[in-house]
Amino acid sequence: MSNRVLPDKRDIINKIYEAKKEKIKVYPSYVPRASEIGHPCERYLVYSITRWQDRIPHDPGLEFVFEGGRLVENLAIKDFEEAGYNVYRPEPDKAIAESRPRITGHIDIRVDFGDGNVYTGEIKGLNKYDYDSLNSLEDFFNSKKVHIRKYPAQLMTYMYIKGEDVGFFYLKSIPGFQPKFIWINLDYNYMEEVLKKTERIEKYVKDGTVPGCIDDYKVCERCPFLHVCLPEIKLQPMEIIDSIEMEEKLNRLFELKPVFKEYNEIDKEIKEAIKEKERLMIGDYLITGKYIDRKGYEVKPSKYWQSKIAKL
Amino acid sequence: MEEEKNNGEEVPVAIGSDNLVKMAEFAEKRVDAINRIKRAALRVTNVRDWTNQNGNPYLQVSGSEKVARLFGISWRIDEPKLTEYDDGHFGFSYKGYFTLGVATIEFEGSRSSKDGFFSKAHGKDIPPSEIDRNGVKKAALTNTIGNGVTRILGIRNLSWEDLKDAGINISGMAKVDYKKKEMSKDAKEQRDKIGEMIMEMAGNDKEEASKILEDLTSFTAKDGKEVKGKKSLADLSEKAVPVTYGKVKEEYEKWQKKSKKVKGSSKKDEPEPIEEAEYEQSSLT
Repeated sequence: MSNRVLPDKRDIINKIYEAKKEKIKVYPSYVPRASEIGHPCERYLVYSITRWQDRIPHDPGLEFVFEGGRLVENLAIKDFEEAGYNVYRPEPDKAIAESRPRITGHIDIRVDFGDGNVYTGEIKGLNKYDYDSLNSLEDFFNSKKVHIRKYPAQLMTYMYIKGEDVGFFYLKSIPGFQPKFIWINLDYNYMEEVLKKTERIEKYVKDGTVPGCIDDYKVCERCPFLHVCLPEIKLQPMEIIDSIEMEEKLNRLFELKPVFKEYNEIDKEIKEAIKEKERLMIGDYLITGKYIDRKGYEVKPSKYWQSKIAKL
Repeated sequence: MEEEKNNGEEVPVAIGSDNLVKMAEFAEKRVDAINRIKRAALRVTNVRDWTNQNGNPYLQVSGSEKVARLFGISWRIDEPKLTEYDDGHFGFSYKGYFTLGVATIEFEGSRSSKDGFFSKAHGKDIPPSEIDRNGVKKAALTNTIGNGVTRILGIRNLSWEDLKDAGINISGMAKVDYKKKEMSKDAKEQRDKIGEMIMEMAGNDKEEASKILEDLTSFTAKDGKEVKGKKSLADLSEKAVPVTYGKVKEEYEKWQKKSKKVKGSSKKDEPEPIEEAEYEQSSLT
């Protein structure tokens, strides 16, 4: 081993983070962005235009994620090109610039798959969990994550502006970079809602007013305008029960837990050892066995309550 | 005042024997409840929700939000107040009203551009005009929410022991020390020399070197308590570097003399003197 004293690794990482932080800038916004118009809070969308300078910039940690996402876009384009498709990377689009109501944005990719049409696509790099869970338009709408729920509005806005009724999402998993392709039909009802929402935003901005706060803490807690919006947070208080009987039952449950675990382990080992033995004697134990036919049935989708009990 | 007899002595009703028991029971229950709340709150946080701020555990806003969600704490916040100082610095304060069930408390949280977090970078002062106003404002809000949540639950001032007991790995915690400045070039050079000497004495064994450093930087405090030394060069402060350098140099020179002696004697195939070997070992571990 060298006796050289190496530069402090924390100093190195700090410098990298600082450089990344320097790159993060907040830019003015004059009209809603296609990538944002699906946001559930209209107040946020209005603030993004009228109080853009008050936006709290994202942290450097997120900037690493965004940069990775931009690299994924290049990888995705390479995928289509290598497969022999004609790929277009649109420059700032005239159709978008002339859209009414005004929505701005930048189309990721347009691809000719050889059927005589060119399709608009949106590329997203996603973690493995999100990548696996997204397979249809409904999956995007049903996602718990706000940023994923915004994706359909973004793609459909581009499709609407381009006058196309079919587009696609091209997803790549991170890590792994595996591809997933999802065709998306333009949902005219949904698009109508998006356009009306855009018109409302335009009006609020023009009138110098803001819509009311939404009642969704999960959206508010990460909002970059939380310090200017100051929404009232209303949460249901935790129920605290004073029940000696229930407490004793819970105590007993936790006492039995290790024994139950041991029981299951030994039961499993014994079952494995006596499998397919019709008659067997071990010490004072007589063991018999046979095959039983099990009736097949389908488990219908349903909802169930899952409780977690932790001992404090 | 209404009074009752208690063991032949007259005592006020409010603290009569039955009431004393009740009060004691109530106090015990209250302590028990606070301890349970504390443990439940800690249960939903992890190491990323805490920072070591000037030596004390500090629950960050991410942790406060988790705790607030668990207990169902509601709040509303008034518009912020801006205070501007003569030296160009400024501060924001928010007043919040925090509710849990039927109980509501008020808390006013504030942050100032004078805080080291905003006003210093690499040991140098940042002019107030260059400090991000929104950053200070947001920090004042998170300070208000964080404090409001922990105050209404009565779980302010948690200790490192509390965190350890809850299974939070405090060694991996982010550290915020506002007073820390970047080390000067001279100190860095001395620190590098300390590293070189220690590594040589330790035979390039990093673990051994760490032990040597710990030994040489340990000392007895004024109150007679033994203060453990630093295991890593990165933990040496600018002030500690020259002192440590002196000690290490002295030890290094002794070690050099001895190793020359040992080498010389081994040439003659003589056994290594026991006393010297023992000394060498005890001085380095």
